[in-house]
Amino acid sequence: MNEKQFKIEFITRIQKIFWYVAFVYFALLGIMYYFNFSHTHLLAQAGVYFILAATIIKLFVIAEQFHSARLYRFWFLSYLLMFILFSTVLLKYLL
Amino acid sequence: MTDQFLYILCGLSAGLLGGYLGLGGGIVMVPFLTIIAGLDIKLAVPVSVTAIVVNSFSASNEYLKKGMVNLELVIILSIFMVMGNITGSNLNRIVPANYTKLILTILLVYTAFSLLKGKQPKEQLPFKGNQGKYIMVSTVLAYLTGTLAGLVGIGGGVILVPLLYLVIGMPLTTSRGTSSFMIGFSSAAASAVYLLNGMIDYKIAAEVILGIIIGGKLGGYFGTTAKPIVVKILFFVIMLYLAYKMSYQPLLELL
Repeated sequence: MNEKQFKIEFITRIQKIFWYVAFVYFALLGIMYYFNFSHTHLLAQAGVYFILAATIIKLFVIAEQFHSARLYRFWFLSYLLMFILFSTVLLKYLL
Repeated sequence: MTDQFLYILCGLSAGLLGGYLGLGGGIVMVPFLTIIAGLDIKLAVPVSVTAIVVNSFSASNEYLKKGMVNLELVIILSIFMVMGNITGSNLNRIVPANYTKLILTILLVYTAFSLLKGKQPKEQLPFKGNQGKYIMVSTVLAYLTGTLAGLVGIGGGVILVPLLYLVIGMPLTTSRGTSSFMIGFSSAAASAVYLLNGMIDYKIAAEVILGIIIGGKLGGYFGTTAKPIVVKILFFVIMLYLAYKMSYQPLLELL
């Protein structure tokens, strides 16, 4: 791998940010559930969507890192993986 | 104890145990949720796979920093594992709960024995120069692992690590790092399938996720320390007990 071009810190930083956001978000949700706040259910649903979106963003960052490192085969495969992940949604609505 | 704290505790202990033992957490979370919290396995599996995605954010970061993740292999194998996960999570809707429980029991027993025995270092084949041959075998195995993981709600680390270590000949630490990073993508696929089929209980998921976020971090911290044999035996007994509780009822009904 072209280590100079491929910046692994981008991926570790983004994962760290997602972890902190998820921690704060779900801690708040826990408090809201404890006090029976209204609409907490919708926020919890949004939390699950956030986790899945975070995974896609992480994959996008990896794909672009492969591009920067001129590893085009893996850049293409990363987008193929993203397409497969999206296909679960497509299959649900197309079938 | 209220249900809320019970779910948080289940997530916390699964994250703690998973992080300490170097597992994803799903292998202990599903039995905890079904046996301790009394959830139906069909409800526990979607919650488990969703929580594993979050756990993978912190679990794989340390390995990434130390260069113990083979990202090229992650992408190649994830494609097949994700396809397997989609198959497995769709199968979960069809396969009766008793069979899912029995499959999980087999995995629990296997994990218990492999933890106690430990992985014996053996002569490793160099990865470079053998990629083509090994990747062919591992893609098939990654698909099968994904199917099994999606079906029973585990990350798949218990199968993936030996696969990378024994089949590809990757060093054990790199196998663990690569596996923990891959699990994030594959569990996300399974979670998406469950989400789209309306099978996730958001309240339980939110509480379990909070627990696993804290437990995973603590487990990762303690996981770097050496594990005394007494602890290994204790986990072995816990795993076997969970396997017994998980399989007792289904076996009675099936026999």
